[in-house]
Amino acid sequence: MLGLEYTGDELKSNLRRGLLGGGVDLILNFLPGFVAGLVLGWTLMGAVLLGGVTYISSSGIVARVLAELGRLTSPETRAVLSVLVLEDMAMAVYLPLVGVLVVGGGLARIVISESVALVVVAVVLFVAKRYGKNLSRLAAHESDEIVLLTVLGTVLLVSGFAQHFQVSAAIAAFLVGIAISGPLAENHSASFRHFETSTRLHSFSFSDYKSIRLLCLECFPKRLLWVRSPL
Amino acid sequence: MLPEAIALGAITAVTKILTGYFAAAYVAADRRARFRAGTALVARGEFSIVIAGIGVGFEPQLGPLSTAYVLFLAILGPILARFLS
Repeated sequence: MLGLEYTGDELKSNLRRGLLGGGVDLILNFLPGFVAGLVLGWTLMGAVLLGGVTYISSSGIVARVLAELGRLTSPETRAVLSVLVLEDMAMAVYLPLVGVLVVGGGLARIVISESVALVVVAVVLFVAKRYGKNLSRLAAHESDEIVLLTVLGTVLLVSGFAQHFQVSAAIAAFLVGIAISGPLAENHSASFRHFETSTRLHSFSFSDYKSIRLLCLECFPKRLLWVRSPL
Repeated sequence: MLPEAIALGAITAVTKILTGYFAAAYVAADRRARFRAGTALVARGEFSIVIAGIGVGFEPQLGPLSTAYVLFLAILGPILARFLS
C-alpha cells in the first residue's frame, strides 16, 4: 500500500478529499476494459476481470517514476497517491468478490467472503492506526533483511491458515500486505516499497504451494540487488 | 490480440490521464501539474497481471490480451510521465 510518505492523519484528509477522484477513476478506467470484454464476446466474468486489469494502475511503477523524476513532494503527487490508495482499497472488495464468483459460489459464499475481507480490512486499518508504533516495534529491526524475513514469514503463515479455512490465500496475503505496510513502512519505507511489489505479485500464486519456493528464490535476489544498488 | 491490446491501452491511457487531471483539481494545482498527475497514473503492472491470472482458466483470450496490454502500458506510462509533461 502506497501513500506512506505521509502521516496517518494527512493521508486520511487526503483520502476524503480524493474520494471523488477515486470514483472518476473507477468509472473511467474500469468501464473500457469491461466493455471491451463484452465486445470481444467474453463471459461476463471475463469482462469484469478485464475491467479490473484496465482499472488498476501499477503502484510499483508509479512510485518508481515519481521518485526518479523527483516528484514525491510535488503537490499533485498527493492526488496521485490518494488515487492509488483508493484503488488498493477497491481491490479489497473486488478480489474476494471475483474470487468467489470464479469458483461458482452462491450468494451466501459471496456475503461471507466479502464480510470476512471487509472486517479484516477494518480491523487491520484500525490496528495499524491505533497500535502502529507497538506493531512496528515488534516487527521492526535495524536490519532490512530481518524485516523482510518477518514479513515473508507472516505472509506464508497467514496464507497457510487462510488456505486451511478455504478462504483465498491470495486475498489473505494481500490483507497482510495492507496490515504490515502501514507500521513498518514508517521505518523501512524505501526497502519495504521495493519488495512490496514482489510480495504482492507472488501472493497470488500462494494457492499453489510449490510457488512458495519460487517466491523465496525470486524475492531474495531482488532484495540483494537492491542492497547493491541503493536508490 | 495485439491490435486489441494496443487499442485498449491507448484508450485507457487517455482515461487515466483524465482521471489524474480531475483528481488533482483539489490540490489547486495548475493545468500542467494536473496533467503530470494524469500521466503518472498511466502505467499498469503487477496487479493487472494478478487479476488476469484469476481468469486464465476459463477465458483463454484474457491472458494474451492482458499480457500485451500491461507490457504496452508499463512501457508507455513512464515515457509519458517523463516527456509529455
